[in-house]
Amino acid sequence: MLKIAVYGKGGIGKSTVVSNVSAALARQGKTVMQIGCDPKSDSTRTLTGGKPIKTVLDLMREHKDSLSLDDMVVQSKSGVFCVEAGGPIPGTGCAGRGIITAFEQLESLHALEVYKPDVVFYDVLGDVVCGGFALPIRQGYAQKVCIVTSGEMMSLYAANNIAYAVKNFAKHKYAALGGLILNAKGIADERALVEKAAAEMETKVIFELPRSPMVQEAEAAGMTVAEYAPQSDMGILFSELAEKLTEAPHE
Amino acid sequence: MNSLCFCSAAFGSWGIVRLGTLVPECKMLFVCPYSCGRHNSIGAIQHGYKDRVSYLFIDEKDVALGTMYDDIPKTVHTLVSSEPKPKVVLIYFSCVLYMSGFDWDAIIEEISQEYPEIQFRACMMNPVASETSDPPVPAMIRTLCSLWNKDAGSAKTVNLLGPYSKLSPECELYTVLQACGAQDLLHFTNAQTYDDYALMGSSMLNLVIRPEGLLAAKAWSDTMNYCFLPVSYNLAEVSGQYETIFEALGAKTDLAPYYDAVTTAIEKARAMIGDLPIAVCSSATCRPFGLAKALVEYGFTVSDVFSDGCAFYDAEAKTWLAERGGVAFHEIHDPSLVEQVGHIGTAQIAIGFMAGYYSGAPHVVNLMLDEGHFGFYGIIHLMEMLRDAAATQSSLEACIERYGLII
Repeated sequence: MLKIAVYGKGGIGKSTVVSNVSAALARQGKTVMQIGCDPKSDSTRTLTGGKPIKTVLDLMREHKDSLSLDDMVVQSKSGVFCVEAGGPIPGTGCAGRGIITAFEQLESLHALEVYKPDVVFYDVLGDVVCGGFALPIRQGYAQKVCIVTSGEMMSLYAANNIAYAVKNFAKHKYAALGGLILNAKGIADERALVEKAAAEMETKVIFELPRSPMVQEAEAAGMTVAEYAPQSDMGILFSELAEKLTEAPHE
Repeated sequence: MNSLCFCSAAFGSWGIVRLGTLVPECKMLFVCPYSCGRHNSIGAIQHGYKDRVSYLFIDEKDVALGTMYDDIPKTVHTLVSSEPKPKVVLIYFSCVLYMSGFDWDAIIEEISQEYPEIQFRACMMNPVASETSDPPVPAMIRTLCSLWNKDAGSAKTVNLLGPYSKLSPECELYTVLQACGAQDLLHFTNAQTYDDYALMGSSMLNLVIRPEGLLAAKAWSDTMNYCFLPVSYNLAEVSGQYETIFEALGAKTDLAPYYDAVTTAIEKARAMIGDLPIAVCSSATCRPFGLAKALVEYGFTVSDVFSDGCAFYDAEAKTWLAERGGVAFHEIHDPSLVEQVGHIGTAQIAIGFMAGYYSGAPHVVNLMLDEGHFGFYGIIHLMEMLRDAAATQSSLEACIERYGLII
């Protein structure tokens, strides 16, 4: 079972990338589980036709004593097992602790043993802001961390911070840094900028996704590109990224 | 419990830190805010382990800045450098660290690499997890059992899990186990050294007689079988529990000699107590409803059961009592009890501190956590305790203080 955590600055396109990769892998016959780790709970939205799914924490609030995996794991049309960790009521509680609690709940119900996914994606909110959001990097969770970034400075700052956290954990044999995924915004010399930043982070750019209206078009249709137009340029690229992520050796 | 609750002055048990004292040659470090440390320190003085526990106080800044990642290894260095040198260090993390996503595994790994000759374990002081599938006390006992040596070979011994003290030497379980080929019944408190303690990992069976030991037994179940046989005072159930033990050991012995003594003890207690109403509670036993049912079946009058919920293994007895009628059930956190404390029900004899506190019964059986009890002996000794209690007026306050329940 390969477990990959995907981090990156808020709004950079993590959920879009992860959902497309999940759907592409599912098309290739892999069993995939995607766990959204963001209180906004929108990681799997494009997989579920734009319909929000109940989050683990919402379900815990509603049915404290009678939770089942069937309640919290929704299979998309493309076959991906979708989970949203969720968060506390906005403006209250602790979102990081919420992630820990949701993960503990999934573990107590043996989610991975039941669904036996070949690949698990943890789609984690913007940055490694606290212990809770660092959980997917820790022992027993992801084996590698990939960071989605553009060439924009704020995005690269966030990537650098995440890379620092991953390296800080490396001495404990936690997840390794798997590289940067460039989700291009079309700025000048973008590839060169990101490669330079990657070198400073002692990692590399493992894939580049160009800016394409196809992504928005598919989303407007309530689908991932992998479902909407799998043979399009973007569809093929997501398929290649899926192969890259699941085949590439860890750094 | 998402509404107003009442907490009795008789509520309590062993704390998580005190449980760590069951491991020989062990030092404890409590990483916590000052007030938690002060509270624990008073308990440590009362229970005589102040020389084994040290503190690293943290405040809001430490949590915000994550400075404990540097401070804990430094503090551990000081602790392990002082005499006597420990073989085990238990590091307790308070609620505030548990809640903040602190990476205790990383700390334990780091210091374990620095001091490979010492066993380090992270222990959670997290009462906020009481209602989860990993509550503090069972999780702590699992941690204590993780210190057993997995590679100690195989011995014909049986481990006793659940109670914090060993069974009374008069309990027939020792004799029964020996007759079935077991060399000894081991408990944490048997060991004088850590090496002896670690040998519990070589036992052939974990015998879990209270729910506190269940997570530990499950954690060891890949290499060591376990039987969960919560202490019962019902003669038929006790016989059934021994049949389970016989099956687990692949041998059996005659239990007939024990029945007469039980019957005699019940008759003597029954003759002395007559129809005096009795209250039972969950601080005395893990099966308060089962105990109430057993007493009713023996001919005693049970008026009240005070409990903190109802365990799955006690549910049948609760249903039996409810259908039969005549016994009042009280949920101990019910806030409506506060107005009536000391006058709830009609009991004249209370089995356990909680029952004594709520009922105000003048006679209290000084039984806590089924201590020392299992099997036929448990019934016989309980009958003796009932007779002793009926013969004397008890000071509940003195009983509680003597046990060290309140800190």
